[in-house]
Amino acid sequence: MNHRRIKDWIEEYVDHTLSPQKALEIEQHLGGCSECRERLTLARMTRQIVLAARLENECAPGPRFAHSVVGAIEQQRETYLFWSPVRLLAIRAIPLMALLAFILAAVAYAQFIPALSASGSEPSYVESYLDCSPASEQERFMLSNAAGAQDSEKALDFLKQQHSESAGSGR
Amino acid sequence: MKVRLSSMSKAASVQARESGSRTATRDLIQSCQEGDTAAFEELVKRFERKVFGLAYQIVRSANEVEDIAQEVFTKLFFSLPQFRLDASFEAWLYRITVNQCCDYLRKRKRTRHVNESELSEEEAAYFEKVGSFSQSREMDISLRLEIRQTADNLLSALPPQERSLLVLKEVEELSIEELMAVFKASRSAIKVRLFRARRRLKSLYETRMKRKGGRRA
Repeated sequence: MNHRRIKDWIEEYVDHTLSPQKALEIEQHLGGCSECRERLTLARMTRQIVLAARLENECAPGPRFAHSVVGAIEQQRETYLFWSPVRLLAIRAIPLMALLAFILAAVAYAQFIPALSASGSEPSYVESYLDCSPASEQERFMLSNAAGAQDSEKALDFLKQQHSESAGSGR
Repeated sequence: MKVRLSSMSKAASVQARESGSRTATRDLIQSCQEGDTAAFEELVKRFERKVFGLAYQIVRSANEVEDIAQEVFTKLFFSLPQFRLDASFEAWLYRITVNQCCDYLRKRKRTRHVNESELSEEEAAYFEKVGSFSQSREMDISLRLEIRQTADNLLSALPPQERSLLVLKEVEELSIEELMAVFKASRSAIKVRLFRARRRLKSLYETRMKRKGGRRA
């Protein structure tokens, strides 16, 4: 007999609800299986603790308990009847709200995700609004070299050229 | 042959009585579903002792049991229209009671800790030598009370759900099938939960034993 099945039957064995045939099979298995023996001991020992902790039924209902329950229900009935349709509506609205949330999320995804992915190639709305991007070629060049400008010679030539051009145009 | 026949007729009469009471309960439920409060009062009278008993075993304090039972029956009344007559009413009532007790214990958040006092040798023997002491009528009353107190402390230290499960299984003597209906769980899930609850109870017991050993050393 399979050890797993025997392990599964320990509760029924302790409750004496197994057939004599099955009970006998379990007893034969228990002789050679320490894990199942431990399970059996655990079940019996904890049953003993729970039964020892059983409180005497000194807590019985009073003779007018049922009457007081009905009285309390009568008091709550109006409130319950008032809120009952609202509660029912709320429960029915849950799937609808979930569907709506899903549709909104899908629309938001379709609208904003392409815009975000395109923002790498073109200046975004925020950038153009603030106009903080370098405007002239000179500014762009200087900025590109600002971090680690190596070719200072080239930069000087470029600036001279720009200066002469602007002087020529001024004349 | 006569003996066998008489035992068979006895069994049949018990069965008839049980099925009669089930039918009567079903009739009462049907009347309640139609809004008959007198029928509900009768239903409360029929099941109040069970609810009180179970709530008392789980909450373990007589002061709160009446409030809990009142809540249970109020919830029962307002949810009766959704009850299907082919389902087990008692399992349903037990479920409402267990949930109400667990809610109450969660709100109270007053977990009773295992008493620090050490376990006497008689107590240890009582829990470990299963069956040998339990039926002994000669056992000293003070020892019996001490054992009950210790067991009560151990059981009270369990989480409410696990305590409810063990109480329903061992005190109310519900079968695995009935527990499946109460907790709306599969057979294997109930067995796993039972095993975990038992293991936790045992570990609480062992912690006490170790403490005792430590003090002695």
